[in-house]
Amino acid sequence: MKRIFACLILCACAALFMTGFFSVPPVHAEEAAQMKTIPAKQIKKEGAAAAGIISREEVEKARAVTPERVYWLAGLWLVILVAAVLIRWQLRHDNKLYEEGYYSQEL
Amino acid sequence: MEEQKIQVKKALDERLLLGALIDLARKKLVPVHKHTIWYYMGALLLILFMIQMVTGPILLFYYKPAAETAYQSVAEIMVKVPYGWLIRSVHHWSSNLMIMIAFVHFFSTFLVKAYRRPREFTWFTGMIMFLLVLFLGYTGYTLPFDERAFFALNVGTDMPGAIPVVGQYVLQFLRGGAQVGMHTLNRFFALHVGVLPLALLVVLAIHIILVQMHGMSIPISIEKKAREEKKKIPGKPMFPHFVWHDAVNGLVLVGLLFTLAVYMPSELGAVIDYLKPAPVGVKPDWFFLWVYQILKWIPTYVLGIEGEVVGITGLAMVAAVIFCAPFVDWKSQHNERSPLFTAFAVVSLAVFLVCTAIGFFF
Repeated sequence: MKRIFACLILCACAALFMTGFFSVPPVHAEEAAQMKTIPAKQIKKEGAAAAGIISREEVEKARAVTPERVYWLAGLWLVILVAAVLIRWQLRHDNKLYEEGYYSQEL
Repeated sequence: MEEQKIQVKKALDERLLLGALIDLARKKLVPVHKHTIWYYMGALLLILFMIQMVTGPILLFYYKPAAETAYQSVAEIMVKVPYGWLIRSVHHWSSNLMIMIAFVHFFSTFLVKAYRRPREFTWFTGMIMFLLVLFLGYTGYTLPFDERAFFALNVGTDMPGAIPVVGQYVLQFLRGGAQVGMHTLNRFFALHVGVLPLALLVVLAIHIILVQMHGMSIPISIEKKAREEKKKIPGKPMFPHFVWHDAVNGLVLVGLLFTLAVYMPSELGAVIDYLKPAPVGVKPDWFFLWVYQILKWIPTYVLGIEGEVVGITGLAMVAAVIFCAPFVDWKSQHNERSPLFTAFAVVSLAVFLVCTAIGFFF
Protein backbone atom coordinates (compact mmCIF):
# COMPACT_ATOMS: atom_id res chain seq x y z
CA MET A 1 0.00 0.00 0.00
CA LYS A 2 2.87 2.33 0.99
CA ARG A 3 4.65 1.64 -2.28
CA ILE A 4 1.55 2.26 -4.40
CA PHE A 5 1.05 5.56 -2.59
CA ALA A 6 4.72 6.50 -3.09
CA CYS A 7 4.53 5.61 -6.80
CA LEU A 8 1.45 7.83 -7.16
CA ILE A 9 3.30 10.72 -5.50
CA LEU A 10 6.28 10.11 -7.81
CA CYS A 11 4.01 10.20 -10.87
CA ALA A 12 2.36 13.43 -9.62
CA CYS A 13 5.76 15.07 -9.09
CA ALA A 14 6.95 13.89 -12.49
CA ALA A 15 3.79 15.35 -14.06
CA LEU A 16 4.41 18.72 -12.33
CA PHE A 17 7.99 18.71 -13.50
CA MET A 18 7.03 17.77 -17.07
CA THR A 19 4.43 20.59 -17.34
CA GLY A 20 7.22 23.06 -16.61
CA PHE A 21 9.56 21.34 -19.02
CA PHE A 22 7.07 21.30 -21.91
CA SER A 23 5.61 24.78 -21.34
CA VAL A 24 7.75 26.09 -24.19
CA PRO A 25 5.67 25.77 -27.40
CA PRO A 26 7.32 23.62 -30.08
CA VAL A 27 9.06 25.44 -32.89
CA HIS A 28 7.72 24.47 -36.31
CA ALA A 29 10.23 23.90 -39.11
CA GLU A 30 9.36 27.08 -41.00
CA GLU A 31 9.73 29.19 -37.85
CA ALA A 32 12.93 27.54 -36.68
CA ALA A 33 16.15 29.49 -36.39
CA GLN A 34 17.84 29.66 -39.77
CA MET A 35 21.47 28.99 -39.05
CA LYS A 36 23.55 30.52 -41.77
CA THR A 37 27.00 31.88 -42.37
CA ILE A 38 26.77 35.64 -42.46
CA PRO A 39 29.61 37.07 -44.63
CA ALA A 40 31.84 39.72 -43.07
CA LYS A 41 31.02 42.12 -45.92
CA GLN A 42 27.32 41.94 -45.06
CA ILE A 43 28.04 42.65 -41.40
CA LYS A 44 30.17 45.67 -42.33
CA LYS A 45 27.48 46.94 -44.69
CA GLU A 46 24.35 46.32 -42.60
CA GLY A 47 25.73 46.34 -39.08
CA ALA A 48 25.70 43.41 -36.67
CA ALA A 49 22.06 43.65 -35.52
CA ALA A 50 20.58 43.89 -39.03
CA ALA A 51 22.70 40.99 -40.28
CA GLY A 52 21.18 38.76 -37.57
CA ILE A 53 24.30 38.47 -35.44
CA ILE A 54 23.47 37.50 -31.87
CA SER A 55 25.11 39.90 -29.44
CA ARG A 56 26.69 39.03 -26.09
CA GLU A 57 23.86 40.93 -24.38
CA GLU A 58 21.35 38.51 -25.88
CA VAL A 59 23.47 35.57 -24.73
CA GLU A 60 23.65 37.04 -21.22
CA LYS A 61 19.86 37.48 -21.25
CA ALA A 62 19.45 33.81 -22.22
CA ARG A 63 21.67 32.85 -19.25
CA ALA A 64 19.59 34.73 -16.70
CA VAL A 65 18.01 32.76 -13.84
CA THR A 66 14.23 33.13 -14.22
CA PRO A 67 11.42 32.07 -11.83
CA GLU A 68 10.27 29.45 -14.40
CA ARG A 69 13.68 27.81 -14.33
CA VAL A 70 13.77 27.78 -10.52
CA TYR A 71 10.25 26.25 -10.45
CA TRP A 72 11.33 23.60 -12.95
CA LEU A 73 14.44 22.83 -10.86
CA ALA A 74 12.37 22.55 -7.69
CA GLY A 75 10.11 20.04 -9.52
CA LEU A 76 13.15 18.04 -10.55
CA TRP A 77 14.48 17.91 -6.98
CA LEU A 78 11.05 16.80 -5.76
CA VAL A 79 11.08 13.90 -8.26
CA ILE A 80 14.65 13.02 -7.21
CA LEU A 81 13.72 13.14 -3.51
CA VAL A 82 10.70 10.85 -3.90
CA ALA A 83 12.66 8.42 -6.10
CA ALA A 84 15.50 8.38 -3.54
CA VAL A 85 13.04 7.68 -0.69
CA LEU A 86 11.51 4.78 -2.67
CA ILE A 87 14.95 3.35 -3.37
CA ARG A 88 15.96 3.70 0.29
CA TRP A 89 12.84 1.75 1.32
CA GLN A 90 13.79 -1.01 -1.09
CA LEU A 91 17.40 -0.94 0.20
CA ARG A 92 16.17 -1.24 3.80
CA HIS A 93 14.16 -4.31 2.79
CA ASP A 94 17.20 -5.79 1.04
CA ASN A 95 19.45 -5.00 4.02
CA LYS A 96 17.03 -6.88 6.29
CA LEU A 97 17.33 -9.88 4.01
CA TYR A 98 21.11 -9.48 4.10
CA GLU A 99 21.10 -9.47 7.93
CA GLU A 100 18.90 -12.57 7.94
CA GLY A 101 21.56 -14.30 5.90
CA TYR A 102 19.68 -14.37 2.60
CA TYR A 103 22.47 -12.64 0.66
CA SER A 104 25.47 -12.48 2.94
CA GLN A 105 28.65 -14.15 2.02
CA GLU A 106 32.19 -13.48 3.06
CA LEU A 107 35.13 -12.80 0.88
CA MET B 1 -0.71 -12.51 -15.42
CA GLU B 2 2.04 -14.37 -13.53
CA GLU B 3 2.32 -16.95 -16.29
CA GLN B 4 2.66 -14.21 -18.90
CA LYS B 5 5.36 -12.53 -16.79
CA ILE B 6 7.28 -15.80 -16.61
CA GLN B 7 6.95 -16.30 -20.38
CA VAL B 8 8.24 -12.80 -21.13
CA LYS B 9 11.15 -13.35 -18.72
CA LYS B 10 11.97 -16.67 -20.39
CA ALA B 11 11.85 -15.10 -23.88
CA LEU B 12 14.17 -12.23 -22.87
CA ASP B 13 16.52 -14.58 -21.05
CA GLU B 14 16.82 -16.86 -24.09
CA ARG B 15 17.60 -13.96 -26.43
CA LEU B 16 19.55 -11.52 -24.25
CA LEU B 17 20.94 -13.85 -21.55
CA LEU B 18 19.52 -11.46 -18.95
CA GLY B 19 19.27 -14.24 -16.41
CA ALA B 20 22.99 -14.93 -16.73
CA LEU B 21 23.79 -11.21 -16.34
CA ILE B 22 21.62 -10.86 -13.24
CA ASP B 23 23.15 -14.04 -11.83
CA LEU B 24 26.64 -12.61 -12.39
CA ALA B 25 25.63 -9.33 -10.73
CA ARG B 26 24.14 -11.19 -7.74
CA LYS B 27 27.24 -13.40 -7.35
CA LYS B 28 29.60 -10.44 -7.59
CA LEU B 29 30.35 -9.29 -4.05
CA VAL B 30 31.51 -5.82 -3.12
CA PRO B 31 33.66 -5.71 0.02
CA VAL B 32 32.15 -3.73 2.89
CA HIS B 33 34.68 -1.82 5.00
CA LYS B 34 35.55 1.76 5.94
CA HIS B 35 36.87 2.58 2.43
CA THR B 36 33.80 1.26 0.56
CA ILE B 37 32.72 4.83 -0.24
CA TRP B 38 35.50 5.09 -2.87
CA TYR B 39 33.95 2.22 -4.82
CA TYR B 40 31.08 4.52 -5.88
CA MET B 41 33.29 6.86 -7.94
CA GLY B 42 33.43 4.59 -10.97
CA ALA B 43 29.64 4.41 -11.31
CA LEU B 44 29.36 8.20 -10.96
CA LEU B 45 31.88 8.61 -13.78
CA LEU B 46 29.90 6.21 -15.94
CA ILE B 47 26.67 8.15 -15.33
CA LEU B 48 28.36 11.43 -16.23
CA PHE B 49 29.87 9.88 -19.35
CA MET B 50 26.40 8.71 -20.45
CA ILE B 51 25.07 12.25 -19.91
CA GLN B 52 27.90 13.56 -22.10
CA MET B 53 27.04 11.01 -24.80
CA VAL B 54 23.44 12.30 -24.82
CA THR B 55 24.02 16.06 -24.61
CA GLY B 56 27.04 16.08 -26.94
CA PRO B 57 25.25 14.80 -30.07
CA ILE B 58 22.35 17.21 -29.39
CA LEU B 59 24.81 20.11 -29.44
CA LEU B 60 26.36 18.61 -32.56
CA PHE B 61 23.07 19.14 -34.43
CA TYR B 62 23.52 22.90 -34.11
CA TYR B 63 27.24 23.56 -33.74
CA LYS B 64 29.10 24.67 -36.87
CA PRO B 65 32.80 23.72 -36.67
CA ALA B 66 34.34 26.48 -38.76
CA ALA B 67 36.28 29.54 -37.61
CA GLU B 68 33.70 31.98 -39.10
CA THR B 69 30.60 30.25 -37.73
CA ALA B 70 31.58 28.43 -34.50
CA TYR B 71 31.04 31.42 -32.21
CA GLN B 72 27.69 32.41 -33.71
CA SER B 73 26.44 28.82 -33.73
CA VAL B 74 27.14 28.57 -29.98
CA ALA B 75 25.39 31.92 -29.47
CA GLU B 76 22.38 30.59 -31.41
CA ILE B 77 22.36 27.43 -29.29
CA MET B 78 22.19 29.64 -26.19
CA VAL B 79 19.58 32.08 -27.50
CA LYS B 80 17.45 30.52 -30.21
CA VAL B 81 17.45 26.73 -29.72
CA PRO B 82 14.75 25.68 -27.19
CA TYR B 83 16.58 24.56 -24.01
CA GLY B 84 19.86 25.03 -25.85
CA TRP B 85 21.22 26.98 -22.86
CA LEU B 86 20.32 24.00 -20.61
CA ILE B 87 21.83 21.30 -22.86
CA ARG B 88 25.03 23.30 -23.27
CA SER B 89 25.25 24.06 -19.55
CA VAL B 90 24.57 20.43 -18.58
CA HIS B 91 27.26 19.32 -21.04
CA HIS B 92 29.71 21.88 -19.64
CA TRP B 93 29.05 21.10 -15.96
CA SER B 94 28.96 17.34 -16.42
CA SER B 95 32.40 17.55 -18.05
CA ASN B 96 33.69 19.55 -15.07
CA LEU B 97 32.13 17.14 -12.57
CA MET B 98 33.49 14.20 -14.56
CA ILE B 99 37.02 15.59 -14.38
CA MET B 100 36.65 16.37 -10.67
CA ILE B 101 35.38 12.87 -9.86
CA ALA B 102 38.09 11.39 -12.12
CA PHE B 103 40.67 13.16 -9.92
CA VAL B 104 38.97 11.76 -6.79
CA HIS B 105 38.85 8.27 -8.33
CA PHE B 106 42.50 8.48 -9.39
CA PHE B 107 43.79 9.67 -6.00
CA SER B 108 41.63 7.21 -4.05
CA THR B 109 42.83 4.22 -6.10
CA PHE B 110 46.41 5.50 -5.91
CA LEU B 111 46.25 5.89 -2.12
CA VAL B 112 44.69 2.47 -1.44
CA LYS B 113 47.15 0.84 -3.88
CA ALA B 114 44.40 -0.63 -6.06
CA TYR B 115 47.01 -1.00 -8.85
CA ARG B 116 48.69 -4.03 -7.21
CA ARG B 117 48.52 -7.54 -8.63
CA PRO B 118 46.38 -8.70 -10.44
CA ARG B 119 44.88 -5.28 -11.29
CA GLU B 120 47.80 -3.75 -13.17
CA PHE B 121 45.92 -3.50 -16.48
CA THR B 122 42.88 -2.03 -14.74
CA TRP B 123 45.26 0.70 -13.51
CA PHE B 124 46.77 1.26 -16.98
CA THR B 125 43.37 1.52 -18.66
CA GLY B 126 42.21 3.83 -15.87
CA MET B 127 45.21 6.12 -16.35
CA ILE B 128 44.66 6.23 -20.12
CA MET B 129 41.00 7.15 -19.56
CA PHE B 130 42.03 9.85 -17.09
CA LEU B 131 44.24 11.47 -19.72
CA LEU B 132 41.51 11.11 -22.37
CA VAL B 133 38.96 12.78 -20.09
CA LEU B 134 41.33 15.70 -19.42
CA PHE B 135 41.90 16.20 -23.14
CA LEU B 136 38.20 15.89 -23.87
CA GLY B 137 37.66 18.69 -21.36
CA TYR B 138 40.35 20.82 -22.96
CA THR B 139 39.23 20.26 -26.57
CA GLY B 140 35.60 20.93 -25.70
CA TYR B 141 36.55 24.17 -23.98
CA THR B 142 38.09 25.46 -27.22
CA LEU B 143 35.14 24.75 -29.53
CA PRO B 144 33.16 28.00 -28.95
CA PHE B 145 36.23 29.69 -30.46
CA ASP B 146 35.76 32.78 -28.34
CA GLU B 147 38.59 34.94 -26.95
CA ARG B 148 39.24 32.63 -24.00
CA ALA B 149 39.28 29.54 -26.25
CA PHE B 150 41.65 31.25 -28.67
CA PHE B 151 44.20 32.00 -25.95
CA ALA B 152 43.73 28.52 -24.47
CA LEU B 153 44.53 27.09 -27.91
CA ASN B 154 47.63 29.27 -28.19
CA VAL B 155 49.00 28.42 -24.76
CA GLY B 156 47.86 24.78 -24.76
CA THR B 157 49.39 23.97 -28.14
CA ASP B 158 52.53 25.96 -27.28
CA MET B 159 53.34 23.70 -24.32
CA PRO B 160 53.86 20.48 -26.32
CA GLY B 161 56.16 22.56 -28.53
CA ALA B 162 58.59 22.62 -25.61
CA ILE B 163 59.02 18.81 -25.68
CA PRO B 164 62.57 18.04 -26.77
CA VAL B 165 63.07 16.65 -30.30
CA VAL B 166 59.41 16.06 -31.30
CA GLY B 167 57.92 19.23 -29.83
CA GLN B 168 57.60 21.23 -33.07
CA TYR B 169 56.03 18.28 -34.94
CA VAL B 170 53.46 17.84 -32.17
CA LEU B 171 52.74 21.58 -32.22
CA GLN B 172 52.26 21.60 -36.02
CA PHE B 173 50.06 18.49 -35.82
CA LEU B 174 47.80 19.99 -33.15
CA ARG B 175 47.54 23.40 -34.80
CA GLY B 176 47.36 22.25 -38.41
CA GLY B 177 50.03 24.86 -39.14
CA ALA B 178 52.38 27.24 -37.41
CA GLN B 179 49.63 29.47 -35.96
CA VAL B 180 46.27 28.86 -34.34
CA GLY B 181 43.53 29.31 -36.91
CA MET B 182 40.66 27.54 -38.66
CA HIS B 183 42.65 24.34 -39.12
CA THR B 184 43.25 24.18 -35.38
CA LEU B 185 39.54 24.38 -34.67
CA ASN B 186 38.80 21.65 -37.24
CA ARG B 187 41.36 19.34 -35.64
CA PHE B 188 40.16 19.99 -32.12
CA PHE B 189 36.59 19.39 -33.25
CA ALA B 190 37.61 16.07 -34.84
CA LEU B 191 39.45 15.12 -31.66
CA HIS B 192 36.57 16.12 -29.39
CA VAL B 193 33.67 14.45 -31.24
CA GLY B 194 35.44 11.53 -32.93
CA VAL B 195 38.87 10.39 -31.89
CA LEU B 196 38.80 10.93 -28.12
CA PRO B 197 35.24 9.62 -27.41
CA LEU B 198 35.88 6.52 -29.52
CA ALA B 199 39.18 5.84 -27.76
CA LEU B 200 37.48 6.41 -24.42
CA LEU B 201 34.67 3.96 -25.24
CA VAL B 202 37.13 1.21 -26.23
CA VAL B 203 39.33 1.68 -23.15
CA LEU B 204 36.26 1.98 -20.90
CA ALA B 205 34.92 -1.37 -22.16
CA ILE B 206 38.26 -3.05 -21.37
CA HIS B 207 38.39 -1.35 -17.96
CA ILE B 208 34.86 -2.48 -17.00
CA ILE B 209 35.54 -6.07 -18.13
CA LEU B 210 38.72 -6.15 -16.05
CA VAL B 211 36.92 -4.74 -12.98
CA GLN B 212 34.21 -7.41 -13.32
CA MET B 213 36.83 -10.13 -13.73
CA HIS B 214 39.03 -9.16 -10.77
CA GLY B 215 36.42 -7.67 -8.45
CA MET B 216 37.08 -4.73 -6.16
CA SER B 217 40.49 -4.23 -4.64
CA ILE B 218 40.68 -4.29 -0.85
CA PRO B 219 43.16 -1.95 0.86
CA ILE B 220 46.24 -3.68 2.28
CA SER B 221 45.50 -2.45 5.83
CA ILE B 222 42.01 -4.00 5.78
CA GLU B 223 43.31 -7.31 4.40
CA LYS B 224 46.12 -7.42 6.97
CA LYS B 225 43.74 -6.69 9.85
CA ALA B 226 41.34 -9.41 8.70
CA ARG B 227 44.26 -11.90 8.47
CA GLU B 228 45.55 -10.98 11.97
CA GLU B 229 42.09 -11.22 13.55
CA LYS B 230 41.34 -14.38 11.55
CA LYS B 231 38.09 -12.80 10.37
CA LYS B 232 36.66 -12.79 6.87
CA ILE B 233 35.83 -9.49 5.15
CA PRO B 234 32.07 -9.14 4.69
CA GLY B 235 30.70 -8.55 1.21
CA LYS B 236 27.34 -7.45 -0.14
CA PRO B 237 26.04 -8.42 -3.57
CA MET B 238 26.56 -5.88 -6.35
CA PHE B 239 22.90 -6.44 -7.29
CA PRO B 240 20.70 -5.25 -5.70
CA HIS B 241 22.53 -3.44 -2.86
CA PHE B 242 25.21 -1.48 -4.65
CA VAL B 243 23.08 -0.90 -7.73
CA TRP B 244 20.51 0.82 -5.47
CA HIS B 245 23.24 2.89 -3.82
CA ASP B 246 24.58 3.87 -7.24
CA ALA B 247 21.05 4.79 -8.33
CA VAL B 248 20.58 7.16 -5.37
CA ASN B 249 24.05 8.67 -5.87
CA GLY B 250 23.31 9.09 -9.58
CA LEU B 251 20.00 10.86 -8.88
CA VAL B 252 21.65 13.30 -6.46
CA LEU B 253 24.43 13.89 -8.98
CA VAL B 254 21.89 14.67 -11.73
CA GLY B 255 20.11 17.08 -9.36
CA LEU B 256 23.40 18.82 -8.56
CA LEU B 257 24.26 18.96 -12.26
CA PHE B 258 20.98 20.64 -13.24
CA THR B 259 21.24 23.03 -10.28
CA LEU B 260 24.65 24.16 -11.52
CA ALA B 261 23.30 24.40 -15.07
CA VAL B 262 20.39 26.62 -13.98
CA TYR B 263 22.25 28.89 -11.52
CA MET B 264 25.60 29.05 -13.36
CA PRO B 265 24.87 28.46 -17.05
CA SER B 266 27.78 28.25 -19.50
CA GLU B 267 29.33 31.51 -20.54
CA LEU B 268 30.30 32.72 -23.96
CA GLY B 269 33.35 34.98 -24.03
CA ALA B 270 34.09 37.88 -26.35
CA VAL B 271 34.56 37.44 -30.10
CA ILE B 272 38.17 36.80 -31.10
CA ASP B 273 40.24 39.81 -32.07
CA TYR B 274 43.29 38.29 -33.77
CA LEU B 275 45.26 41.50 -33.38
CA LYS B 276 44.69 41.77 -29.64
CA PRO B 277 47.46 40.45 -27.36
CA ALA B 278 46.65 37.91 -24.66
CA PRO B 279 45.04 39.66 -21.68
CA VAL B 280 47.22 39.88 -18.56
CA GLY B 281 46.55 36.99 -16.20
CA VAL B 282 44.88 34.69 -18.73
CA LYS B 283 44.65 31.27 -17.12
CA PRO B 284 43.74 27.76 -18.26
CA ASP B 285 40.64 25.95 -17.04
CA TRP B 286 40.74 24.75 -13.40
CA PHE B 287 41.92 21.19 -14.16
CA PHE B 288 45.18 22.47 -15.70
CA LEU B 289 45.77 25.27 -13.15
CA TRP B 290 48.19 23.07 -11.19
CA VAL B 291 50.38 22.64 -14.31
CA TYR B 292 50.18 26.37 -15.04
CA GLN B 293 51.17 27.25 -11.46
CA ILE B 294 54.09 24.82 -11.33
CA LEU B 295 55.42 26.12 -14.65
CA LYS B 296 55.03 29.69 -13.38
CA TRP B 297 57.32 28.96 -10.44
CA ILE B 298 60.12 27.49 -12.55
CA PRO B 299 62.76 30.11 -13.52
CA THR B 300 63.19 31.05 -17.19
CA TYR B 301 66.40 29.03 -17.40
CA VAL B 302 67.52 26.13 -15.23
CA LEU B 303 71.17 25.11 -15.66
CA GLY B 304 71.11 26.58 -19.15
CA ILE B 305 67.97 24.70 -20.20
CA GLU B 306 64.68 26.51 -20.88
CA GLY B 307 62.52 26.46 -17.75
CA GLU B 308 59.42 25.34 -19.64
CA VAL B 309 61.28 22.30 -21.03
CA VAL B 310 62.50 21.40 -17.53
CA GLY B 311 58.99 21.79 -16.13
CA ILE B 312 57.24 19.73 -18.77
CA THR B 313 59.92 17.02 -18.70
CA GLY B 314 59.74 16.89 -14.90
CA LEU B 315 55.95 16.59 -14.88
CA ALA B 316 56.12 13.93 -17.60
CA MET B 317 58.59 11.93 -15.50
CA VAL B 318 56.32 12.10 -12.43
CA ALA B 319 53.39 11.01 -14.61
CA ALA B 320 55.48 8.09 -15.92
CA VAL B 321 56.31 6.96 -12.35
CA ILE B 322 52.62 7.11 -11.43
CA PHE B 323 51.65 5.20 -14.59
CA CYS B 324 54.23 2.51 -13.84
CA ALA B 325 53.30 2.35 -10.12
CA PRO B 326 52.47 -1.39 -10.31
CA PHE B 327 56.08 -2.08 -11.35
CA VAL B 328 57.76 0.55 -9.18
CA ASP B 329 55.91 -0.11 -5.91
CA TRP B 330 57.47 -3.49 -5.02
CA LYS B 331 56.09 -3.71 -1.53
CA SER B 332 52.46 -3.31 -2.57
CA GLN B 333 52.90 -6.04 -5.16
CA HIS B 334 53.73 -8.37 -2.25
CA ASN B 335 50.74 -7.04 -0.28
CA GLU B 336 52.99 -5.25 2.20
CA ARG B 337 52.52 -1.70 3.43
CA SER B 338 54.39 0.79 1.29
CA PRO B 339 54.87 4.04 3.27
CA LEU B 340 57.12 5.61 0.61
CA PHE B 341 54.48 5.36 -2.09
CA THR B 342 51.75 6.43 0.31
CA ALA B 343 53.82 9.54 1.08
CA PHE B 344 54.33 10.11 -2.66
CA ALA B 345 50.58 9.87 -3.22
CA VAL B 346 49.82 12.25 -0.32
CA VAL B 347 52.43 14.77 -1.57
CA SER B 348 51.02 14.55 -5.15
CA LEU B 349 47.53 15.24 -3.83
CA ALA B 350 48.75 18.15 -1.70
CA VAL B 351 50.69 19.67 -4.61
CA PHE B 352 47.65 19.33 -6.89
CA LEU B 353 45.28 20.96 -4.37
CA VAL B 354 47.64 23.75 -3.29
CA CYS B 355 48.74 24.64 -6.84
CA THR B 356 45.15 24.62 -8.11
CA ALA B 357 44.05 26.87 -5.22
CA ILE B 358 46.93 29.30 -5.73
CA GLY B 359 46.37 29.37 -9.50
CA PHE B 360 42.67 30.04 -8.94
CA PHE B 361 42.87 32.75 -6.27
CA PHE B 362 46.08 34.60 -7.12
